[in-house]
Amino acid sequence: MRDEDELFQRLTDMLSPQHNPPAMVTELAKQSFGLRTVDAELATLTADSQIVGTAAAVRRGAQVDVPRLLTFETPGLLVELEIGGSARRHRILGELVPTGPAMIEVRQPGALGPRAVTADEDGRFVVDGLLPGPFSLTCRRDGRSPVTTEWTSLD
Amino acid sequence: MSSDNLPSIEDSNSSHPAPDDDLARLVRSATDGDQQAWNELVDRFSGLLWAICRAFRLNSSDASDVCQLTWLRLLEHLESIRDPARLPGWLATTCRRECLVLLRRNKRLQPVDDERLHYLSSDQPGPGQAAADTAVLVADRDAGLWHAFTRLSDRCQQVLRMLVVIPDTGPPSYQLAAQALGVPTGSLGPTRGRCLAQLRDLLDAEGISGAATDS
Repeated sequence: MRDEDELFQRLTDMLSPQHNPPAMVTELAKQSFGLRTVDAELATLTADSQIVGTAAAVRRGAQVDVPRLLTFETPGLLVELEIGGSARRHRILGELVPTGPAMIEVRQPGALGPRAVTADEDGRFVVDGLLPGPFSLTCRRDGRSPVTTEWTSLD
Repeated sequence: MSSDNLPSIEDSNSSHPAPDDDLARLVRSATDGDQQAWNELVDRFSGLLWAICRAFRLNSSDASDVCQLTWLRLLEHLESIRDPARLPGWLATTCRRECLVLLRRNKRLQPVDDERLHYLSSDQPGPGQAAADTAVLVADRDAGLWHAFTRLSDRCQQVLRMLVVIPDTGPPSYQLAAQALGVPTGSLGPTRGRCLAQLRDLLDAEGISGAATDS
């Protein structure tokens, strides 16, 4: 038993340096606090073409340009997104169901601040220039409480 | 505002608050919008999350992404954390889930179910992973131990890595490690024993002592 614990301690000493996060990771996590939305309904990701894993799923670094389809849902709103664009700057084509105009606020860590685009009468909108990494959209419609899509990562 | 009956708020210098009280205070404050409280939570648990990612064999870039996403996930759910004492377990489970999502999306592994991960051969980097990034720097004296460790089954390596890192965070190590691994808590003690015994056998076969005194 004692030998086993000694071995475990030796393993701990050897492996622990590998387990410390870089300072940057911790810093980014602290800064994320500013990205929080309060009082918005959370729309969960209910479909992701990349996870269902068709043969067309994009491998990291591949040049093939196959759009990724995401669906976020709350009881009152469906947010359908098509992610395209280049590897470094993604473009989202979005559609709200039920249709109708809305203000769409776009948040990403690493972006300078939130941006806003408008969804038209058909509930359609475009967001350009998204960075790789997590993103979240907050949809604000007249007379309804805001809906925020859960944080999802873009390649 | 939070109630004032917690001694930890007044006496943080003179007494040691019970870890759970302290954690509850931090979670409540963060939920109320306190950036400092959030920063403390990050400082406290970033190591745990990073280590879980590494135990799942993510490279640094993917580990950064998963850690970031896990913290954002917490931000989304701060209001719904009913029992702050469960936060470490919640973080561990969420981090694990995000590791699996990332691994499935990037197709670095075979398609898997949630119970088992089938790794590529143990000391080769996966496709797309820079060899330099996953190379491990070990002191010379650890070379033998490292070599033996990498010859353990992937499962043993993962379990031992998780047990090595988790005691630093305070709560009972087996429970939290079990959550991070997605296995029953009771299975970890026997697994630990078995894996260490295998490691001992590998070291003996190479004529290497496990004691720290060897050069």
